Amino acid sequence: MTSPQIYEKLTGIFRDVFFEDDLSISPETTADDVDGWDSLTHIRLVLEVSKAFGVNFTASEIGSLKNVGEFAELIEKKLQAKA
Amino acid sequence: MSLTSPTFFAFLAATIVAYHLSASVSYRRLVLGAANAVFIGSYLSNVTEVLPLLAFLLLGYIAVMLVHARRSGRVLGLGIAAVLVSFIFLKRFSFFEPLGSLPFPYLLIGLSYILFRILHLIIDVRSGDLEQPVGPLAFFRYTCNFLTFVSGPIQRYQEFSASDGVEQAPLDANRVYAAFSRMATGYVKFVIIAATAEYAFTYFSQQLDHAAGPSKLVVLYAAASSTYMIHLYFNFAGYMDIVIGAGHLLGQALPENFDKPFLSRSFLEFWQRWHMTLSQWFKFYLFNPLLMALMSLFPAPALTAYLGVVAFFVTFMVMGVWHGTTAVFVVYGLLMGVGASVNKIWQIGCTSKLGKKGYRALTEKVWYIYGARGVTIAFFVLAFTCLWIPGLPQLLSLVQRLGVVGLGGGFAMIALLFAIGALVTDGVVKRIGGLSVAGLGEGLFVRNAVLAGKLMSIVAIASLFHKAPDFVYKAF
Repeated sequence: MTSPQIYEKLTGIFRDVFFEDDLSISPETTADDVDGWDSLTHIRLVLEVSKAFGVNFTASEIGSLKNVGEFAELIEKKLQAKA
Repeated sequence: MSLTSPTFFAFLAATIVAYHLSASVSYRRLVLGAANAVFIGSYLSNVTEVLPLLAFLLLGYIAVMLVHARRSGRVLGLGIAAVLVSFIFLKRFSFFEPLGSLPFPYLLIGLSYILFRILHLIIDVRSGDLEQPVGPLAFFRYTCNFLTFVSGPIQRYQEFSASDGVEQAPLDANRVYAAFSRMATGYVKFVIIAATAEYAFTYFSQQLDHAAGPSKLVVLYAAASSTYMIHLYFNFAGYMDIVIGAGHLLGQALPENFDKPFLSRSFLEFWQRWHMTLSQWFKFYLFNPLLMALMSLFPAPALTAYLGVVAFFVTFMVMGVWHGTTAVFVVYGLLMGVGASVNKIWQIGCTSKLGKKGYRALTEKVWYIYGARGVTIAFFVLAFTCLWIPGLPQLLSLVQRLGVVGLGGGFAMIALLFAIGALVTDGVVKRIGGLSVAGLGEGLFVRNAVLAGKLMSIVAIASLFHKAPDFVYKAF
């Protein structure tokens, strides 16, 4: 899966989790930029991403993500490791 | 070895000098390992006192190795269970008295923090976060790092390993100055502010038993609990400054543990600013996995907030109970759990009533900011009573004497005091910040004069007190 494809899929998940149909994300997007992205929705987001991409995240990965770019890179790395 | 003792200064100086005698990584690791052994040894009067600690470390290491060899969920569960049961046994939790206890005195300091580090290793090895095997000496240097042995900060192995005997950046005059300045600031907090607050706390708390009249009792209680809070914060934050500063002289970048907690506007924010490494540990290894499990069980998005309330309650309850081994700490845990839950329910209620933007606008109003800061600190001031009251019967007796009106009055008084204090402090800081010390600059003379001033103040104030202050958090 290419990076643009990952972002496209991620955008859909973000819109579902935060109930915002016109939400757009970029690698620099952080929790401060998205209304309602707190520790609870973060876990909901991680669960939805795990399900959609078929990958698992470790405790420190879940806790240490700083922005969407890191999240997308991590997904890409995990997908490559799986392939 | 007390942080304020001449022995500690001599020990620290000797360790720093020995560490810098050679740039060899293996030599430096040897120095750090030996320093840990000497530091722990300073707490012992008899060699048998260290045996339970050694057994606990050995058990932890075996668990880490077994999980590394067989990364199965069963081994992980068994490893965690074995370490937890041993910890509970050694810490002598009053609820598990039937388990019995070892028939001789032994070292308990540091055990809680070693537990956190061992559990982190076991979990991260299982998840694949830690792929390289951890050697026994590295395990000892990590779990028993003398800088963090007594009470943290809780550093992750990945970060510790990166600076374990490896120079991150060469020491120069600026780095050495920054390290000494940080340590001096720590001693100012520890020896001057915390010790003064402790004297005030002792004065007020001793009068609590003989307070005549309900209003005098409320005022005394508010004064005692508030000064305890100030004592606890400056004692702990000062300790952190000292070990973080010393860490820089030994090539270690220890994580920060405080971020101006008195600025907090809510219970949850307070824990993001107070003892941050402990909060983060619980977030990584209890709150997140628990919430994930709950969300997997109840996947409806509408339930997210309510599952969060449950996860917050459990996490803060466990974190509260961890602070001690007696029934009074269960009350503390309950208060922490209730505080977190009420905070989350308040957020949910306000958001659903005012909308996200409306709630955010509300939280930016001046009266809300200072009101929330006052209420937040008042809650912790009262909850921290569990940390200084001798036991549950004394706590119940105090609550009974205060009554609902007394407790409410005390809460309001403390909230108002801290809110006004915050308002005044912010105003003063704003004005002084505008003036700044720009005229003096950051020259060599000024910075050395400031450092010398701190040291002189420490010596002057320390000589006024008859006893050296002790580190309060080592009891937890």
